[in-house]
Amino acid sequence: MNPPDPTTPNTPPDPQVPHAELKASLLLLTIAGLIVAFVAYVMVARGVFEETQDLVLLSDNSEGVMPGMNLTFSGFPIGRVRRVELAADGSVRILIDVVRKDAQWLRETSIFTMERSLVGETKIRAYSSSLADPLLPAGAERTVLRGDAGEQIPQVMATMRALLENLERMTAADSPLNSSLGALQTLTDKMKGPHGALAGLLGSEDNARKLIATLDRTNTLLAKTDARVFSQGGLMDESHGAIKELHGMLREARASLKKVDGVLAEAQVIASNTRTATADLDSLRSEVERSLRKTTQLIDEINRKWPFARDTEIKLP
Amino acid sequence: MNEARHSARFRHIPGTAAASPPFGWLAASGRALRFSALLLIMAASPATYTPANRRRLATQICLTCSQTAPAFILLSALLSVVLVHIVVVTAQSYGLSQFALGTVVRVLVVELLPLSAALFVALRAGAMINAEIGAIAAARGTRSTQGAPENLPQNLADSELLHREVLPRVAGSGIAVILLATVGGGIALLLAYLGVYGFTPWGVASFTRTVGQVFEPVVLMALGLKTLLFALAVATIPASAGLERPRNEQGDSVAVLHGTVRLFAVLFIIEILTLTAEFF
Repeated sequence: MNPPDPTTPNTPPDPQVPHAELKASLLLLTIAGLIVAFVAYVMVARGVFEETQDLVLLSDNSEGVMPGMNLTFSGFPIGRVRRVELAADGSVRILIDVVRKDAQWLRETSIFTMERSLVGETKIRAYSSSLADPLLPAGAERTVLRGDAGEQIPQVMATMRALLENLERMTAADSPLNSSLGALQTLTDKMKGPHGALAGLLGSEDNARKLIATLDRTNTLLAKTDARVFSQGGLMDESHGAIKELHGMLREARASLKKVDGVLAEAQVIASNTRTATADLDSLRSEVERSLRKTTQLIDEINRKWPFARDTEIKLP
Repeated sequence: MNEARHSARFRHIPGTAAASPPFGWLAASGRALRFSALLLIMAASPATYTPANRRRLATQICLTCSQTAPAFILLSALLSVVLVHIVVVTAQSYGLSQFALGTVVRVLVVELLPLSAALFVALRAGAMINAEIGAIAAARGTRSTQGAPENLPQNLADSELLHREVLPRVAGSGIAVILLATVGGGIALLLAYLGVYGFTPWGVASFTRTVGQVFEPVVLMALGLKTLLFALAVATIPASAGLERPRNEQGDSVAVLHGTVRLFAVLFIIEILTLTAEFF
């Protein structure tokens, strides 16, 4: 039921736009298309349509880890954190979706690190030392190595403080370093004396003088030794003659040993002859034994016959 | 029959007497809220879309979008280029260039451009709608009290006013806000890519991943909801203020100012609420 047209001269006339309905429809379709395309793009960007495999990283702290974070390999994102949860034993389980086509970079021996810098977000990285190792299976659990620059600041400060305290002790007036420097100054002062560094090393000028005197005497002794040992008819010449004589004696000993070799060869031949003769004795012995057995059988036969036969019957009383 | 039902609801919308000052704003907000609900119901009703109303609706959509889109797209592109350049250069100078793209996308596409689109439509079309509807309502009010036949009820005339004049303008404003936010966001994304990577296709994978990290499900839903609420507020609050004017006997400029102030307050409340939802 349409009411009567209430338009009046006071109402402004409707503006006219040619093909308004078509244009409006196109506009609405464009808006809807843009929105659908944007949502689809975001879904693609968030990896909704990507085929993934699970990876679980275990850590003792989840600070800075958020769902959506990247897992990078050589700077390239290959996965993203899906969930962070607390395990029954109190450890942190970081569930990561690794894109299936990029899972080839993760091996059994891969190492995972979680680095937290002073500025910026936490980064989870994967390192594979050998790509020849077996592939990391789906659902594998690995412990992540943590490196936190912020955590190390208190340690660095404590170390720095200890270092500064040590430096302060070292530079104090009564410190060992100052004493050592004083002793060094004394030493250098002594090195400026007539005997140079020797006086400093040996403690006094007298000691240095004694050492120099000892060296002079040693030089004199060496000169005398040279004259006795290396001069014409000295100890070295006599040693040379003795060595010549020793050579002659060795030559004679070698000739004697050759003669002993000949004797031993003859003895070997005699021994072989004796072995042959021993074999002949064995056959002779077997023949004698056989003759003796025949003789024994003959005597036994004679004994069984009359008049040598004995009554062997046993008569009971 | 549907129009009769709409009329019955609309009869209660404008207050017959001005509320006391401490509760005036609250009462006006309540009326605007009920008015928005009524318009939504009318928009969802098939009886609204008679051939004549459909033509008026299409005309208003085309007019509002053609009045606002070219200027806004130009301005938003300019703003995007400047902002992208500032953020990228600043991030590089601090050695934080890896965060530049995410920051630009989050600030521009998620926060600035929807609000800018709503404010632009509110200033460009909202004030005009306020004035137009006020004038039309005043003319109809004059007609209904002076020359309307006795057998035509007042609420039926109001229903006709809503169908013929208010709903097309409201729909045009709302769709313009959504259009500007969508197109402005797309252009901002394109300019952000060009600003960070330049004219090379090799940054698409990295760009896509960054966009995926920024647009978490919560952020995406907050963006969609925020844009819809902006569109609803920009479309209905000026119309509601325009309809209130004859009863409050205010001048044109005062009514437009009241409507604009109320609209800005609502826009900022929506922005704050969505920011709270995103970051807390």
